[in-house]
Amino acid sequence: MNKVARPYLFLLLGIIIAFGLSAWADGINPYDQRIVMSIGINMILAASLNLINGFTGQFSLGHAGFMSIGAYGAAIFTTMIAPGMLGEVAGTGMQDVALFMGLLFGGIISALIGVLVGIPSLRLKGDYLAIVTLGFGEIIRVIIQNIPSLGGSLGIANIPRYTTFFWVFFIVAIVVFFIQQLTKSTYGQGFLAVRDDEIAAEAMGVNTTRYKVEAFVIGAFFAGVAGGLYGHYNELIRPADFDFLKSVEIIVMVILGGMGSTYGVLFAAALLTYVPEFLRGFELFGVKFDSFRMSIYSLILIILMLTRPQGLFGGINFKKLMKVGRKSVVGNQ
Amino acid sequence: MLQVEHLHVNYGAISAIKGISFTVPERSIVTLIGANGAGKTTTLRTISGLVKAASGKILFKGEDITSIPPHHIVSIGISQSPEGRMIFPELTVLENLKMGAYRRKDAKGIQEDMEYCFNIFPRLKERIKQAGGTLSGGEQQMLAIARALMSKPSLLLLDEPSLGIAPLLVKLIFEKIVEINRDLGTTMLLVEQNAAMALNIAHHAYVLETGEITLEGNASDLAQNEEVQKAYLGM
Amino acid sequence: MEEFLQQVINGLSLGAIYALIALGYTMIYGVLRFINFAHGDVFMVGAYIGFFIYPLLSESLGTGYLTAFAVLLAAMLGCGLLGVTIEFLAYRPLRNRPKLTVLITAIGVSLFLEYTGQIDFVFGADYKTYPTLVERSAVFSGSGLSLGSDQVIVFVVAIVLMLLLRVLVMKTKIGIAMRALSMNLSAASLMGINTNRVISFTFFIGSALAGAGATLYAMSYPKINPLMGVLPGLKAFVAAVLGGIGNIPGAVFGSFFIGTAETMTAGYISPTFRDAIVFGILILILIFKPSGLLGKGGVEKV
Repeated sequence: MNKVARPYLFLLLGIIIAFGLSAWADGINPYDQRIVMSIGINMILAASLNLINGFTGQFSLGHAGFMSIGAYGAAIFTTMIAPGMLGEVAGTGMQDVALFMGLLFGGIISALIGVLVGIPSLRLKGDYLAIVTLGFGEIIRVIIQNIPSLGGSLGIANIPRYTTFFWVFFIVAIVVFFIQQLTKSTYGQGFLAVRDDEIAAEAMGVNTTRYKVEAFVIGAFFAGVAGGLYGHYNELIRPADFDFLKSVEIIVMVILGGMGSTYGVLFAAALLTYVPEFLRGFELFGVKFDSFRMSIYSLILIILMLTRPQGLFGGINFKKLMKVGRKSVVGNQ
Repeated sequence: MLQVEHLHVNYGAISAIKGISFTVPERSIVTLIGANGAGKTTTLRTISGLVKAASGKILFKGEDITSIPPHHIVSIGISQSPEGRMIFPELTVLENLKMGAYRRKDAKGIQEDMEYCFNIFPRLKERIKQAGGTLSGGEQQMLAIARALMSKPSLLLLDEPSLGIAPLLVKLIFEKIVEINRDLGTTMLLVEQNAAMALNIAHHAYVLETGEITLEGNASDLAQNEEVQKAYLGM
Repeated sequence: MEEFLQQVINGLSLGAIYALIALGYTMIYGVLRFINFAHGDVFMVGAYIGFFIYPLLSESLGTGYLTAFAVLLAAMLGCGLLGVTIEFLAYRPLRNRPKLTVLITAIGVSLFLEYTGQIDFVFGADYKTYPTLVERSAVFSGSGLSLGSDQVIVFVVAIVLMLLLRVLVMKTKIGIAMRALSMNLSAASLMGINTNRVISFTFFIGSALAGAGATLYAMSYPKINPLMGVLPGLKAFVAAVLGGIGNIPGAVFGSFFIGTAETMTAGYISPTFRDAIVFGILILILIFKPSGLLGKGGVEKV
């Protein structure tokens, strides 16, 4: 297959999957629907954080903060701005236009805040960067909590449910396509250089700060879009939905997937969204698994870091794997 | 006293020491000379247990000490004055010396050894309450050697005692090394880039080049060796 | 003026508690160069130790200062052992691994303590009421100013512990070893210092101080739950960074500063901003002087 064409093919495949899923959506019960929706949204969040953590090696603990900005931005757009611009859109084809513009609006605000946060904080490294992004994430949350017109800690309710399977998985495909194109381009090689050896990259004339800020801003944009999708599915957003734990949850997906491996991270996002739901009903010694599943979740995180810090899929070259797979298919013929 | 046999040390995929063997007889001063990056410091760090050997053996008084943790190495009588001196900058001179005697319990012996150190390095006594980081380079080197002596070692490892120190002080420090060897009978393994000084005080010498021993012999003989003169003595 | 003084008193007593927590952060950072995210949760466990052990102790010792003191010691001992265990099981195997691996492990330990605490047959997710160790009375009140007995106890206990810590770190052999280790780990091991043992000891002391902080905190704010350690932990961490992480007097200074800033914000601006102000201070510090107010040198490159 042509090397240039392949990503486009994947994009096409992604869009087909998005269509397929949305055709299937009506047939399944709301509970399963919610899980699939969460998987898609978490995929966007994890892939976008992966661009920051996995590709540039910067450690951000405030991703949920950007998600919340996008969620609030999109909700404000569709509930306050769009009716004036587009009139009554719910139920018509125009609701997709409203959603699209809302997502864009939320994503852009999130990206702008990303610039504000990124420029000063990305001079810091490691632990310090983690802490400062955590601090920003918390500050964003506290500020939203204290703005009465955003509903304070009660949040915004009655957001129209515009998000569909198609939108979620279409955006997953776009994010993956975008990140692949970006990291493959000469320009994108700069990201990887920053991760692998910042000092050497700098010596070779790579403007490391610019790359870091850009990765951060793009990551913030997509996190904002994911937040918008979340709000327009959940119909209710509260500051507490976007706390430190949500940031940690996204990070765990990135780590489990193996930092820097896009497909690994997508798979981890699906796994970590599905498995806890799947286990919810289980019982052990008469105790509902639900009551201690989070405890086990954190224990697994610790064990994973002790035994496989590169993630479940880190270090596995998916392209190579696929090539081997193809060869064996050819061999069988 | 110390026997190193076929020692290999790797840093990741890079092999830093490629199977060296040498011996340090009791009460002698043996020197390892070589250029920057030859593996001299790695050899000392491996003897002290800070770096793990990939293969080979280190024998001390006949016993295998190859994979013993650093704090036990000090207990059995090997101490090191490390490269770059590694003085604890915010501890006073006195506290630095006390740390040198960390594993000892004999208060009286510690006191005597401290007197001895102040005797050979009177400057340290003058600066006893000063923070280690405020000393000059030469004074820090004296402190590093004195601190290593405080564990009452039978083998003292000296890593580049001349590094970054004024020539006059280098001369003084090397004289003191000989004095300690004579007074206390401490066996010394001296690693140096300053080959002239090292060959001057050592009994036996080895030349280390990119992880391998290329030459060895009586120190005064090596000082006459043409290759050594060309490569290390600048003649 | 009285109100201002009152806020100062409240701020300093809150700061004294933060200081006990911040000391643990800073000491552990000093020896291992990493942020022990689980420290705030060790603090939380300290409050539960008091909660569970008080009924047992008050049975044999009665109610009064002796029991309160015994509860304090029990919380310190329990937290100290917990800290040592965490270090041994989760952090020690990761020595020499990338810092981020250790950081994420620490987050994992923190979540584990919080979630496990929320399980019904462990502590339970609901709020529990911490026993009244010492009856509260006004030691001083008048002209709009009041000083409660609980505040006096907080000050006395915190200051005594800080002085003891100072003696330990400055005068004892293991204390000097602890400082030596924080300056240069390999030089310390060349002295014959068993670095792992000193690190364990540091975790014990740091966590025990968090246990003491938890006892004082729960005396002042008796509603406890498994997530109670998160905010005080973060604030104490900010205090440690403010004073220059790794710097013991800095942690104490930073804690009093944060405590006062917090009560002032709550009193003069709005109580809802008392948490935001702390993070605001953190961000200003990290951007303008990451080494902290009393710290020296630059940010360590990771």
